[in-house]
Amino acid sequence: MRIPLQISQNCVVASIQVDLDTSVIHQFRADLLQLLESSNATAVILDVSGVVVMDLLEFEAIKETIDMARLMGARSILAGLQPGVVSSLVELDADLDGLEAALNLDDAFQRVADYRATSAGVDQRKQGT
Amino acid sequence: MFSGSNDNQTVWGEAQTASEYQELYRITEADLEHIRALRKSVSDRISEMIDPFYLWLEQLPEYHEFFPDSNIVERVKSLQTDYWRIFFEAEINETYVAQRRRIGEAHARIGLPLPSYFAAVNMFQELFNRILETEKLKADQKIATAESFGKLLHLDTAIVVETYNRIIEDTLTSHAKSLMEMSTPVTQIWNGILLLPIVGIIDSKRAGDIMNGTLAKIAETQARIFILDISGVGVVDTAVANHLIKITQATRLMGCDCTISGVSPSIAQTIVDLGIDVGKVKTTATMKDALADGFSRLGMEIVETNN
Repeated sequence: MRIPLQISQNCVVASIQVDLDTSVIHQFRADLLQLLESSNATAVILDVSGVVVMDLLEFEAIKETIDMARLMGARSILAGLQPGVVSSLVELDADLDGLEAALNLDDAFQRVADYRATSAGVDQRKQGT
Repeated sequence: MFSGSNDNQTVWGEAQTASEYQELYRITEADLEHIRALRKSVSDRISEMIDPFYLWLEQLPEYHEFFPDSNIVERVKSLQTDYWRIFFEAEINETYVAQRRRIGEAHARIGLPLPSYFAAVNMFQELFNRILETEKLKADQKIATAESFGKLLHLDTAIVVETYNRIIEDTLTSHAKSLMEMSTPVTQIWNGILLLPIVGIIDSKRAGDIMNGTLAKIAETQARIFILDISGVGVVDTAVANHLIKITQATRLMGCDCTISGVSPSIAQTIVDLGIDVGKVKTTATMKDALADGFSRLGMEIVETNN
């Protein structure tokens, strides 16, 4: 089972709708990192709105994938986490530091655009001095 | 609860189907036969049970509360006649169980106290024994029949009590739910901004309620900003601070920024004295500051008009 990936506005959008067992996560990482290398995408949006149950292992697997993407220069945003998933993760004492999340896909694209605008501004200032 | 060592045994209190009930109350085919044998004679003499029962009922203090007019008395009497008719058919099947459950529901809904129900059952047993005594049966058969009657009556009563229990549990659950909703009034005060003022104490149960209520509201309204006002919280210790930090983490994971407002001087002092690491949690002294910050993050501002 493969997790579908597509590129939109220079972002890789991954729509996670299935259980993340080991084989799925391996395939997903390979596909994602490959795509980050071949495209010039600088952000990854992980749409998890279809996930209603997530255990710690799956969550850790997602976090590791986000770390891998960061090493390749892309920042990741989790979009549309369900309330039930969030409260169970908090109850399971999952380490939530350093994660960026958005309400939905629109919000995620907005955050990427905002970030690009500010970092572009920083770049311009750098060039100006 | 008692659970049998044998897996095939019916576990106490978990009987669901008619056959499970029958096994639980040790009702044999012979018991049912005893009851059925009386069907004809009792149905002729049913008024000998119903009429004295109502005479007894009338002298109870609650009588007028539950039977305000004679129409109701007549209706209940006819229902009771049906009840005993079905009882003496002694066919224990799913319809029978379902029907007994409905009877329990009806009694629980009108708010009849369980002790009164038991007293009524007891009264009927006494009246039945009176009828039985005058039947033309051998002494040992009378004893056996009385025993069978007792078993069947207990079965009926048990089903009714279970239904009472279930209804009371349902009521408690719905009360707990409405209490939770009252204690966590998450309100949308502007497009994209939620506010929750907390008054009182925060224990882990309430923190969980706050978290669930807030997350559901964020998903529903797609709010980007959540303001948690703790000016009404008396004591902030390590446990409370941890709850608050968890709530902010959870909202952030939904994509909603959380600001804790109403941090009073004493709370600020306590937090630092206790060495609590609030991490990246954004805090403000007043709700006004938090709101102004929320507006600016949403790219909005409040403008005074000159009139």
